[in-house]
Amino acid sequence: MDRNTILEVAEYHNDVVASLRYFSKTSPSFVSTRYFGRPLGDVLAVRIEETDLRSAFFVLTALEAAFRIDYLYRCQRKMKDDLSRAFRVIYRDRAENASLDEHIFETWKERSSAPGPRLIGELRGAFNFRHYLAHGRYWEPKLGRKYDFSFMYSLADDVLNAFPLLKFD
Amino acid sequence: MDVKEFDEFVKRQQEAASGIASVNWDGERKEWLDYLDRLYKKIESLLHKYVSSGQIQLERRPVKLNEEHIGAYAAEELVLKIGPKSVVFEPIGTLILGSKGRVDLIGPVGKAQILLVDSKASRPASLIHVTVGVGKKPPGPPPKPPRGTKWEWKIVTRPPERRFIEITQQNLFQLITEVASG
Repeated sequence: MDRNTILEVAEYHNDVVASLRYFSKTSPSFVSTRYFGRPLGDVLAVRIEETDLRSAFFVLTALEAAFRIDYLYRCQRKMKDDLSRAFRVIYRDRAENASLDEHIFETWKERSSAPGPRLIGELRGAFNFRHYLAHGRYWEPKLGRKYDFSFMYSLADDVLNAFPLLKFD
Repeated sequence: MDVKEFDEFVKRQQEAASGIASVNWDGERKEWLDYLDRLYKKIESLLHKYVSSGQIQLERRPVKLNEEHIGAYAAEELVLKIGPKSVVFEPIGTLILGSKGRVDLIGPVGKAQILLVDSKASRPASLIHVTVGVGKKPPGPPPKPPRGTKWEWKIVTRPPERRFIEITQQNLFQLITEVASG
């Protein structure tokens, strides 16, 4: 999992959005039959919003994988830096089941130069949103901001560029 | 966790708190609102021809923002009406990773970002860097922007490219068209 993964999600997302826009203008079934009586602009906006949420979700799964792979790498390869040492203490109890928020993000916050309140806070907020998406959206989430694909992609791109995340060859 | 580790933890938290307390948050807010006003003036100027002929209506509306350390404060959004379509320049805040401020352009079928960044920056990726400490010495906080940094509003191109481009008339027209009609 790396930047190429989210790059592919973004390219796929852009293709789907472009297709929806094209389809909404040219498809006879879209224009006449299927959504008869509904403003086309509304239908298109709803479709794009749904696509947006799905793409945001997949970006977050890629980001979670990157952090978890880094955690496992640092534990199994016995890296000497403070972050890796702290991860190995967690690994003794939790092994592969470390919590992304409580263990992995918290350790990054304590053992790296990542600006805790802002960067780690943004990550936590984003993963609360992922939790909401992954569990069927059956409650009204209390989120500090409005999340969308563009935000999630930007966050993931910045994080994958900024953090020295390690991965197996 | 032994006593030594806990001591280090307490020390880190105190250092973080003193860093936060030393920031002039009121000044940060004023500076951000001033930059926001300059952005809106620039947009109004680039759209002047259409506004003066009545083809486009521009309106500033009050909004409330709430940011950590700064608290709740009043700002303005800029609403642009072109025929039946509206797009809004919505201020997001000044405590934004890697930048000094962010405004989202929101239209019926799309969104775009405008960031207040170091005028020399060409990509968001160059603005944040995280390091890991060795030998129980926590790495220092991320470096602050050097004094004399020239801040400039720039459009962020859509993912996956995410490049900073200048707010020229041509780029603004393109952006408005994208979020308004796809």
